[in-house]
Parts: sequence; C-alpha cells; structure tokens
Amino acid sequence: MHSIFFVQPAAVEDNLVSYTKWLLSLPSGQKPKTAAYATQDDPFTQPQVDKAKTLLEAGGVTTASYKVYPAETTDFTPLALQVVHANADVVILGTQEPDAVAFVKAFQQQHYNPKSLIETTGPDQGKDFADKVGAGNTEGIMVPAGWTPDAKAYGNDKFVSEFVAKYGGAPGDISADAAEAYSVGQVVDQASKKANSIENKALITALHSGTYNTIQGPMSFDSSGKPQGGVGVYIEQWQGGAAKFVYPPSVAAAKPEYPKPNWQ
Amino acid sequence: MTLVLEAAALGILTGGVYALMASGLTLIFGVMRIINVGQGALVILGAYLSFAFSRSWQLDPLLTLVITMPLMFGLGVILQIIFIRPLKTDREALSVLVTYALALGIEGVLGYVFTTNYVQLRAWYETASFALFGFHITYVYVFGFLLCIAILGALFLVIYRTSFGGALRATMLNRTAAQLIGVDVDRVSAIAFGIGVATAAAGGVVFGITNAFNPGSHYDLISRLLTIIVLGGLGSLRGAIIAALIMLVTEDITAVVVSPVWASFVFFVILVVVLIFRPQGLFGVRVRDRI
Repeated sequence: MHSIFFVQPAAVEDNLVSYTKWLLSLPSGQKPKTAAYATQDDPFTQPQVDKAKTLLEAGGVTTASYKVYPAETTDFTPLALQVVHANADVVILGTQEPDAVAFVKAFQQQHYNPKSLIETTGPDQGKDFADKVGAGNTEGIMVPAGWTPDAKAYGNDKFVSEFVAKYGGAPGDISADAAEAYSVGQVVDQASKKANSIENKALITALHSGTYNTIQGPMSFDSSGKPQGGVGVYIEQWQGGAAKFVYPPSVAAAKPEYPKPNWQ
Repeated sequence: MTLVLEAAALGILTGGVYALMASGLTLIFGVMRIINVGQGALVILGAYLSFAFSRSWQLDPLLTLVITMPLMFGLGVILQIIFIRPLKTDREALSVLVTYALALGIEGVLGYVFTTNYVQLRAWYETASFALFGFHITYVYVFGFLLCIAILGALFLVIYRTSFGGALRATMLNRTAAQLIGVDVDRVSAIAFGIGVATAAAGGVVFGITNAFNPGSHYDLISRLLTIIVLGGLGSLRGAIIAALIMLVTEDITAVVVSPVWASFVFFVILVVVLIFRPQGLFGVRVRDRI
C-alpha cells in the first residue's frame, strides 16, 4: 500500500478517538455508564467503532449492545430496535449516509433519546443530511469531522466562496466530502510542483516526504500513506441548524450539548 | 420476547411493501414468461417521480400515486411494445438482457437528472408512531401495508372478476391456446406489463419514504424481489405475497435474535429447503397454471 494516500486529518480507525476522549472527560455524574454500538461491516466504519468501543470499555463504559451489519442492508429498523432495547446512555454508529438517516428516524419512531448520538458519516453532509431527517431533528447529533466552512485553514475561504458561487446555497450546506475531495486536489497540486512532474512515481516519492497544506489543515504521510501530524479529527455537533466544532476546546466554536435534546 | 414480537410485526408490515414491489414482477412473468430484471430500477424510478412531484407541488408522497401510477402504467405499455414484444424467440434469456439494459438506462437517466446523491421522500407519518401492546408502530409502515392490501386487492378483482382478467388468465395458462380462442395476447401482455410497472410506482413511494435512495439503489432491490418470486413460485401472485412476508419476518427476527449478518443467510436456507422439496416454489405448481 506504498502508493495509496489518504487525505484526511487522521487514519480511519482514529476518527472517534476525540469523541471517546470527550466522553471520558465528562464529570463523574455525567459520564455515561453504558454504550450501544452498531456498524456496517465496512472498512471505513467498523475500525472506527471498534476502536471507540475498546477505548470506552477501558474507560469503564459498559457495552450494552454491539452489532455488525452487512453493507448491503436495506432495512435498518430491526437494527435500530436492538439499539433502542439496549437503552444505553450513548449510541455510537458506524454509518454511511442512508443508514445514518434511517437510524435517526427509527429512534424518533421509537421515542428513544440517548444522551449522546454520534454517527461516522451522514451528519457531516450538511444540508443533504438536514433535508432528510428534518432540520429540527438534527439538534445534538454528532459526527467526527476535520473541516468546517469557517475553518481558518489554508485556502478554505477561497474554497467556500467558490463552491457557493458555483453551486449556490450557504457555506453550511457544503458536504464534508466536497472538502475532502478539494484537499486531495490541493495535495496533488503541491506535490506536482514539488516534484516538478505529474508522473506517478515522482508524485509518490514527493508525497512520502514533506508537509502539505489543505483546507483540512497541514498533513503529511507515513510510509504506508496514512496521514501524519494533521490537525486531527474533531467532534462536530449540530446546534441551531448548523454543524459546529465542539471538541476539543482549542478549536470549539460552541460547547457540546449534553445530554442531546429530545427529538422534536 | 418483546423484541422478537416487535421484529415480527415489523416484518409483516414491511413484507407487504415488498409484496407490492414483487407482485408486478411475478405478474409479468406469469403472462409473458419473461424475467423483468428492470423491476428494481422501475421501483426507484417510481420513487424519484414521487420525489419530484411532492417537491415541486408540495404534495403528500402517497397522494402523488394518483399521478405516478397512471404515468408508470403508460410507460410500462410503451416499454413492452418497444422492447419486449419484438422478442419472438428465446424470450426468457433475451428478456433478461433487454430488461437489464433497461435498468441501466433508467439508472443513467436518473443519475443525470437527479445526480447520484441520496434523496428521501418526506411526510409527517415517516417518524410518527402510535403505541399498541407496548410497541411503537410507525404510521408509514401501516399506511404502506394498507396500500399493499388495497392495490393487491384491486389486482385480484381485475384478474378474477373482469373479462380482461379472464383473457389475462387464459394467456397465462397457454398463450397459443388463448390466441386460438381470440384473445389479443399482445394487448393483454402490454397491459399486464403496464400494471406490473404501475405496482412498482406504488412500492417505490413507500420504499422512498422509508429509505434514502439513489439511482443505484435498484441492485439490492432486484436481488430481493427475484428471491421472493422464486420462493413464492414464478408467476404466482399469492406466492409473492406469502414469500415476501416470510422473507421479511425471517430476516427481521434473525437480525434481532442472532445477528444481522445471518439475516439473509437464514432466509436463503429456507429458500433452498423449499426448493429441494418444491422446485416450483410454494405456490408455483406449474408456473403457467394459475396466479
């Protein structure tokens, strides 16, 4: 895997580390006692959830339920029922967008309000996510993220203004996927200038050394292409109709809402 | 135990929606002896049409069926005339290729018009639920099940209580004999294909309310629909309904009792066991005998 590079602020399995740190840092009266986990058997989602489970169990949070489901699953309600019946304090879901939406809706149908809900993908899709679950029902939902429209990272202002000019909408509507794709372009642009070539071999050599500035922050890559020394993956939470960084405090634009408000 | 009962109830309700989607597939096979592997794409097309009409005209998604079902019926008739009717030899094999091409074409057009981003139909009843015996039953699944009963009931009435139904059943029994006694089998086939596509619109709207979907969502759907009609017996409407209920109840209970990973596996074990003892499926005595 020497020739494949991952342009995100952290390796996939570390995406929920910030979240677990935040949960375990809560005062003892607020710290969750139980957690329920469900994840797709997907190389992007499951490693994140498994690492979060290991860290939380080590921190004294009991696992109330842990389920892995096939990526081709289309009916998520039985899975959601299991999570609901586990009645855990916090729910951690390894989702892509369709199941992220389906779980939120199923929890509303069952009147289940965990103190905290985080999904690996879905809530980071901006307006696309809010349109599907309803703007009012996004409140308090969390997602690991390395980018927000108001981040002061390299080139972010230009990216946001040009994106809105081309596709319309507001900065908060932009999907994190678009930001990640743009970052790939930034990295390749800088690597090609550094190598003075667009040949694959030269680009690969260039990418294995040095630091590249992106709208997700500066990043470099180790010998296997994993991101190193980036800004790390933070926690974003929907508050008042927009997703905001809430942890760690050094980058937070707002304090985390905990417990999450009940569904509308 | 509560969880198992809840999963069983959910399986029955969602099974009705799958029965609706599979009914068109089995009806088309019964009349024309063709496998319409484009049925999943037609379900997704129906969902997108409801999405477009509900968004443009602020209509309730279920109400859009008043528009989408006739539209899809007309589309089905046209598709049958253009793509299926010219197949005179080796219909079973060629129809798979033709309808697969149709599915890819529909997927491509939907991707161009709506992009490949996921969308979902919105309605007040998508998350609203009522308590019954300690369960929370969601309105959308109840409405979907009632829609299934209404449409499949109407379909049974058409098939068994109208002169067109008589011609349809005659065509299913023996296409050549039906022609000999004066049945216009080309007309019957076109209308049957239209009905099958119209039921896809009905299934699509409920699928679109309960699931986020994109143009590629038909691949998972068609594999499930084909499995349902194989278990029920190719060409059997009753079989499609029973098989859909068996599939969804089995999968949902297995998902909550054992693991979601085993949900499909257990259903396929049932399918294999049934096919060992009844190769024609549960109600498929001989596929052209009856529906």
